[in-house]
Amino acid sequence: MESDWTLTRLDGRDDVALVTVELHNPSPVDRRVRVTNCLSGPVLPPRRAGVPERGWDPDGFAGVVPAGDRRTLGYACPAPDERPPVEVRDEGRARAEASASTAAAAIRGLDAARPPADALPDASAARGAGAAGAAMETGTGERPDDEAVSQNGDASASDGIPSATGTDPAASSDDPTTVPPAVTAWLAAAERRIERGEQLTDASAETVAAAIDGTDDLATLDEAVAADAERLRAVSARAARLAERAAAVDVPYAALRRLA
Amino acid sequence: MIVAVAGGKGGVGKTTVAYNLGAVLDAVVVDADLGMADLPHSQGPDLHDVLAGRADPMEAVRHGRVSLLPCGRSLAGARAADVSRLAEALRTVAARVGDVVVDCPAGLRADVGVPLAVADACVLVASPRRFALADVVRTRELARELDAGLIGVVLNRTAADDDVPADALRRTLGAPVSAVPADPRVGRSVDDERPVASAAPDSAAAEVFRSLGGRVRTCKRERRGRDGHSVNSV
Repeated sequence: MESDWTLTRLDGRDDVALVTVELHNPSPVDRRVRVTNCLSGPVLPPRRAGVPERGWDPDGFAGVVPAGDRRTLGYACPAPDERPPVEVRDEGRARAEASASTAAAAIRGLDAARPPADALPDASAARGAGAAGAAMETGTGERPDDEAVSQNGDASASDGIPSATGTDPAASSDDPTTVPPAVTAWLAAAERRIERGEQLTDASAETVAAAIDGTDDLATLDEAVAADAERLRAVSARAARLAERAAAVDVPYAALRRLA
Repeated sequence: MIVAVAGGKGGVGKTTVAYNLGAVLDAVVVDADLGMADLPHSQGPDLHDVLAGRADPMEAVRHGRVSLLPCGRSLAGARAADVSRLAEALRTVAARVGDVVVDCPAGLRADVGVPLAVADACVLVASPRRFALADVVRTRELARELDAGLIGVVLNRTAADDDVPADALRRTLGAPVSAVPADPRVGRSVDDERPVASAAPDSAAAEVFRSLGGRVRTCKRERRGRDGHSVNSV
């Protein structure tokens, strides 16, 4: 078994190694080969439908190289360089393999069973609200995420966000896509502060000069954005928890009606 | 032993057959239809929770006239469910309770493939209408690829005037074909949680399920004898 390897770095990422192994079997019989990762990180093998391709395991790859043929393998590994990155072991002549009728093979080979994200009522609601919000608001690209957070945000608002949340609870109960206006306003204000902060991060002298011109809130901006980040994270975490609990709710209406 | 009940087309009665076969075998019936669950559901963890890693498979089993492992009804739950955990969940339940009957969804996607790959054998359900038969042939092909031996084919809700090519089907699919005559007691059995084998023991349907159950038991004994080879893989 002849083998050759290359080791490159993932574009823009110094911490992830991409390893390519080319195997050549010059012999007239199929041969089994074992490729073991020698880098210090975990093997990230090629996957299909979320399942590693056949032959890959946490240590590397095991498979057959046909007689007189070549086989090329590749995987990623978040680890520093080491040379050689792999150890290739010829395990002798391949015997007839049993067909791999595993659950993994079924998942790889068949279409995913998951309903598409678009089918979720929440997703479409968020998008609908996002479109509506974009029309009213600044219309930046992050609306759906913001709206998804604010869907459940009115409960979170009581966590020390001083606003008029809950003034119009009917609006949200009538139409689940409507986000309470106070939440929309709060998110928009946070977004404005964050955008301003982004402009000033690593900005050139001219931009900074232009931005400073005529304003006096710069001293508190960094602090305000940090506070925003903390609040947004808190709201996001609470909203996610509530959404999970809400998804698990299943009122046994039929059973209750029978009891009544 | 894990038996998958599959059939390609939806609405042919896979759930009814799985439920009644489960009753005969005293097995746990698992509703693997992640997107459109059919078996009765009540409070507590379900298969979505199991596949999302939130519950142990045995926690989700409900004991009743027929033990069930129901599936959640929400699309969000279906989306969060990781079908790669299904194999392990089915094996866990089978190791704990003995027999498991899996009610597979319609179609030929991964949520059908995983139960067929894990199952020791399968039962196919078809409507006696000719247009529905192509789907059962396709499912048979998938079961063959995934090494799920075919125990039998159930033609559900046959009527006296149905012109069913039973012989051709038996030759094509390579397994006995049995017909369950249309009977309201069979249709109601799942919703009422009253399997026909006990609700109407003298009915033709009950006889079909008993004989199917007998074939599953025979297959189980043969497997034990041969130590893990698949049955009837033609």
